[in-house]
Amino acid sequence: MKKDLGARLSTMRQTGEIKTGRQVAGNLEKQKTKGLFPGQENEVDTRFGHCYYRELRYPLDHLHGKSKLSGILGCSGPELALLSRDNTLEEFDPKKSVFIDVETTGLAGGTGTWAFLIGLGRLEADSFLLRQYFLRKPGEEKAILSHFNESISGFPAMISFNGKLFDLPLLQTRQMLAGTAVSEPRQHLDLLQCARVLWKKRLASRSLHSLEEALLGLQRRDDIPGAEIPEVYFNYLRRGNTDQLKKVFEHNVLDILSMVTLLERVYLTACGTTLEHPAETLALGCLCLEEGEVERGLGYLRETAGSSNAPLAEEASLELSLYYKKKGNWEEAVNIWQEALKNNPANLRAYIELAKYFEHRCHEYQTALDLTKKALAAARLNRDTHFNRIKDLRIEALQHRLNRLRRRLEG
Amino acid sequence: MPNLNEILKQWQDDPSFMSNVTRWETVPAREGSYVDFPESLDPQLQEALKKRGIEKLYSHQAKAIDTVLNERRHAVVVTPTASGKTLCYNLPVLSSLINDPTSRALYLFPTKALSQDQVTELRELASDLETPLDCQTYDGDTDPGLRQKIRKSGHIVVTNPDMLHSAILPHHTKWIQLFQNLKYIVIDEMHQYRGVFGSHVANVMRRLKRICAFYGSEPRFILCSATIANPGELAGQLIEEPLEAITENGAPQAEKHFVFYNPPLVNHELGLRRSSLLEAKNLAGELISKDIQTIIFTRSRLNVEVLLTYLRQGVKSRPGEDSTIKGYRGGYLPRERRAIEEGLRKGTIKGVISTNALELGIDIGALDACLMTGYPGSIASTWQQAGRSGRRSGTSLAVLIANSEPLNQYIAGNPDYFFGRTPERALADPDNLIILTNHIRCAAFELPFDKDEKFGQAEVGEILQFLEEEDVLYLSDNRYHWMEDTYPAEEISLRSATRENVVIIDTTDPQRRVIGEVDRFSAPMLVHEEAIYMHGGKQYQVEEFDFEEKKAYVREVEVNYFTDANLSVDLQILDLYGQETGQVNRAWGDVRINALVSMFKKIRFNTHENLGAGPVDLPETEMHTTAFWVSLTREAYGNMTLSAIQSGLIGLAHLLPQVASFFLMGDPRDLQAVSQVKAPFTELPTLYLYDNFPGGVGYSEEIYHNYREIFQAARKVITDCRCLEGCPSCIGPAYQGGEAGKEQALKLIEVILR
Repeated sequence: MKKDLGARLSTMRQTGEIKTGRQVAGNLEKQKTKGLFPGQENEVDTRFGHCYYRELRYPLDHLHGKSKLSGILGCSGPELALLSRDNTLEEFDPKKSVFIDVETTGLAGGTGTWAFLIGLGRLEADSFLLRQYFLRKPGEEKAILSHFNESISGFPAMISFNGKLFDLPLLQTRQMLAGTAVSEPRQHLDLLQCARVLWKKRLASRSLHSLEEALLGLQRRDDIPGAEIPEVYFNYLRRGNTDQLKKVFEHNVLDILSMVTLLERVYLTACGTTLEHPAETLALGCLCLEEGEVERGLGYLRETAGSSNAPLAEEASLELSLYYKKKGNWEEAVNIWQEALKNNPANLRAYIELAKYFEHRCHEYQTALDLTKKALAAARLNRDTHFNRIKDLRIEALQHRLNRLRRRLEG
Repeated sequence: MPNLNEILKQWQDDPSFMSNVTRWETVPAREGSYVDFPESLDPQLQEALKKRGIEKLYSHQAKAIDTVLNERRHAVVVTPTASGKTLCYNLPVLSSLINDPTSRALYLFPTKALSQDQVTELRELASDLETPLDCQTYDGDTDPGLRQKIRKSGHIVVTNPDMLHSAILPHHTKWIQLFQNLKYIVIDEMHQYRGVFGSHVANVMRRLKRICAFYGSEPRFILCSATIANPGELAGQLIEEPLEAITENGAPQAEKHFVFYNPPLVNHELGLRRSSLLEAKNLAGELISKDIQTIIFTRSRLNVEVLLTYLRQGVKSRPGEDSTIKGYRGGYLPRERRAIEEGLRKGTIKGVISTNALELGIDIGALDACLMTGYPGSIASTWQQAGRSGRRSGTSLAVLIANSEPLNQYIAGNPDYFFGRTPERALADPDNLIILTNHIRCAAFELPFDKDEKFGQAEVGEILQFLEEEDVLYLSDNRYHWMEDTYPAEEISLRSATRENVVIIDTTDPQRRVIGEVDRFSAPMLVHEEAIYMHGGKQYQVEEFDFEEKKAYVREVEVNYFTDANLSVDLQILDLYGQETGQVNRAWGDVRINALVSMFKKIRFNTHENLGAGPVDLPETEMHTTAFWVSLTREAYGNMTLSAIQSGLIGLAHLLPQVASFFLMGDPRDLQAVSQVKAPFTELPTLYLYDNFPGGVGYSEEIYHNYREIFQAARKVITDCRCLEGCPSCIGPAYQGGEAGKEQALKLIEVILR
């Protein structure tokens, strides 16, 4: 005799064959938010039902970390377009932009992840207005998503932190599922992408919190860790537990305010106005060179090459030399490589560039051979360096070059 | 093929060869049944076919087109290998897409390799059409840069059920163009979707249809299957729609010799027969040396490599020349496999040794001979493997070489099964509670459930409520919403309990390279430290197996042995679902299985003598599943000694999974047996048979109800076997069990059936 379905299901629960959450503790008062949060609370009727949001207003001289919110008023498009490699941002105007940041029921993505808190920030006359849509229950999603879409539709630009890969696609998926209009901003500035370009060499982590601490002079106290946020929402939804919810709202506010001051910092660095570290100068130099702003780029690279930070100076010199090489200015290039070897006799890259030069330009095979031998010796000494990632510098490639040069000398 | 006929004549004239043949069936050549192109077939497509030399269709192809295009019904087409099966779905689909290029089709194949092959064929046909139609594979190997384009504009997307389950359905909003316009879903190799895999796939289809309904499309299904007794039933279980079964085959057939070969007994007392592998080596050596292109199927990856080594020893290639004999199996890298497939088509490769990886429709052209070492596990598989030789014309050969396993011996003695109507029924259980519940989680992730919504044909209100109580779902406004911080499809594998593979890294050269992979459950058996791993006919010794990181580091060696690991299993009862008590207690319920590889043996090539053993130090693997067990009280076994009981139980544990799987239409490996002389739960001598799959697939319950039939058949196998005290063909070799194993096993059966 087979057990009834309920009993078998509960066995599955015990054996862990079905992954589940916890038992329901009981249905407490659900979905009570009114009066819970400071700021202006609103409940509006839309054609898809009720939706809830609250608004906070900050004066523009509000100090967040070490900067004021008003710092973004001077940000203009061309520098941000260059940095993002995105021409649509040429027209960027901070007054016509909205900052967005969503809190979700998970990071997995896909159709089963909800955006339960949508934070929206924008400049308004003499203040910064921050609105947070909150999903009190799943049935209000359509109303929220459409109200959100309408309230950003007048703004050509969206500003986010990782929004191109996460926030926006997630919102679009929710909008498609809810059968409401899908938000398609004309311009999208993703500050994480900007941060990657500018601070890759300076900071080990480019998470918003790392950037706050390293660049924006902000230390969060009592902030809720992002990984705990889904559980807080589930607790609210299932048990009416609002204890931690306030912290999620605050977390979201801080994220948006940090995006504001981060935008200013990104902009000032992209302009070359605020360059605190040679790594920033180097990053900007490489970017300018790649994007065709040659004179500017060379200037930043020369500046870095002259800095006291030896590894960065070496890297900048090398970038310069590769530019000269490309332009056929061999004298300058060779000069740099020889100089680099004087400073650092283990500079694999310089050996190989010189070896290539002597082999292919001067046909001085013996010189090239000697250089390759030295490169090989240097490579064997430090096998695990980042050089392994560059094809020309791998031991096999060096060996190959060596053999070819030997053949040339014999033949 | 004069050479082949000569060899066949020689064999027939050789009494010692013929004494091993239990049946020599000559399947006569048959004319095809041809019809003109149906009017509904788009003229562009008719032109393209003519350009390829096709002027008429086989009758079953035309019937498929008519059913799908004119009658607008779902169809399942049952055809043997080489009967122009792919045109049965490609023609109606392409014809329909030409007429409406906004529509879309989704093709599902059980493996990535097959998808690749199909797209090549489809593109060739589509390239002759004026209307540009884009056919693309979408799987784990697809370039990320191409993915978005495929999602938006691929007319025919070719993928596998796993990819549909884990990547496409959970992201259906990215596939809106596909789902809104989906007209056709093609499921080829349908018979593969049985048992666990089939039960999963049936639920993936429920999810797929749910998503289509959301986007307003109502796709038509075209399924294709090898010959099974119940194609309509299986198709119905998979798609839960009424459908037309097209079973008559209009393709011509060339003459084929089908030989059942039972290797000679080498030890009458032990019932030992000559190894099927060694027989295959001799037969294949003879065929290949006479330039007859031959495929040899083996039952395991290990045997592919063993046989490859043997055959290469026999057929020496000229120095500097690539061997004309190749191995082919799952662990090889795609590039290697493509090269082998091409070599087979061009004829540069004379012999290939394969696992069932080449059983399915991968295009390797027509070979002359096919040897099967051991029964492939089902009659349908046997015919598919046999179909690899002789596609259109000329004589071809298929030889089934039985091994000593009970089922093989049963088949060798009863070859009639192969030439009449097949008794094989492939079944899936879409309502397996664990599988169903897991797919409801996936489905809820994809779209909320209405409170009274059905999932396919299944009533799932109780399951939804259960998941709500478990905080997986959240009920609001009469809809169940997914409310969990997970991605459910990720942890659910359609094929086994695990989807993580162990990669095998060759460290012979400083430049390390990945040479293959094995699944996590097989890894402790195959790549424990000191194991000899065989790949491409070369031997590698495992130097380090990093269980945590799932990496095995190997180095090339040359030794005269291979390794074989011992698996020990511990079983604990967790819950009882049904029992009948008396002198003999029978029951079924939930159990926990702990499997541990503790040692391995080194076995010398050719002589198979034991050269020594070594320990294996790896953590055990754990599984929860369902089991059937039978335990005997003292009243039942009377004056049998415990050692006699033990010897009998060991014998039954060897025999029963094989006998039972024949009745349950499963793979013998889907069932496992363990015996305990004093079981912790019952304190009595107990024999367990368990489903070798987490949660079980219903085998144990089935055995609980039909145990008489199974034990009766087991009794017949033992009494029919000509060995004295047990052999691999019945209760296992005598040395494995104990004294008088056969007698004790028979006694136990009598007690159980009393």
